Amino acid sequence: MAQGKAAGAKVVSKNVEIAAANRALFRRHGLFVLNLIGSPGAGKTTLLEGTLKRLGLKAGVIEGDVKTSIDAERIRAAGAPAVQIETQGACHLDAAMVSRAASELDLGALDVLFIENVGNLVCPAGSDLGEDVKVALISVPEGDEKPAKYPALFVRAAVVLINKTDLLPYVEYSVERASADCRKMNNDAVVLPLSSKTYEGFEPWLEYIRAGVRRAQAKG
Amino acid sequence: MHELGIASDICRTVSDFSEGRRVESITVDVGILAGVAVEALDFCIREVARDMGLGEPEVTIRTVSATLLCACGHEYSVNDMLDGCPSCGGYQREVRRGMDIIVREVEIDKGH
Repeated sequence: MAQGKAAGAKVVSKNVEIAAANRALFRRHGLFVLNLIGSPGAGKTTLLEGTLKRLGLKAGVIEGDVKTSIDAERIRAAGAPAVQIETQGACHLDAAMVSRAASELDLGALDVLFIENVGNLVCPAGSDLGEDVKVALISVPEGDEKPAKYPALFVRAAVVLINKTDLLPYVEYSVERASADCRKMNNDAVVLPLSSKTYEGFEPWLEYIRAGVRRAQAKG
Repeated sequence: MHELGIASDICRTVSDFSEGRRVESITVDVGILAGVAVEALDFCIREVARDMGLGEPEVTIRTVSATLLCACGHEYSVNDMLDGCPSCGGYQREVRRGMDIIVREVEIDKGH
């Protein structure tokens, strides 16, 4: 005879515990940590290259990719320490991967840590890495319906960057529609259109990071 | 495809409850904002359950709407986050349910 019993247990993954440990570690170092999530080709690494050159703070990068260390090499060429994670097929980073990568960085020497997730708008959304904020990066050629199509990411993203605005004259894209949909998903989201090529709109993004660093250092 | 990892977390939760007894059925609630493919999760739970020695349970996965609390005080459910508050039309709201995965029910066989 089967015995029924309502469990009602929220599934707590091991990932949640490791993410909490990462968050405590980052806080001890007064670090502001951003988890950058976007499609393949949205311009995550190019955004970081431009950000590192213009930010004027000590930044480190954890690079997530399925294969290769091409992106970490690009980041090092831009002048920042970078650790590459190759997930060997896994669709998103998890907190354990970030924990191992962070141990290879001198966290005490940094103000801000960027974690570039595997290119994907679905899987990274539900996996906490111990970051302060999730940053969703979408780009003009992808189409303005991305926020509407991927609610799991956009309800969690504190910041949405709309990249490649230099292509707006050539592509059918409504920044207003994308921004409005982002705010429907998360009314408090900071939505910033910018271009990593012309650096138009970059200053509010850099100022957002600097404000986050000031808050983290006050807490740390 | 990260449903295998989630299935492992679910089966560990079930196993903590069943304590080695044979599991007849598992009912899981998945929020629409959990970012999970239900069919893939169903398959993975069966595979992991067998692998963990939980038996061959019936698996039921129920999709749960998002429950939102609006700044106007109205609480409501949606399946589409683009829909505004039915009371005031606004979007200043807090997600109360719909992000989580919850093991709602586990049936165990007491004869084993």
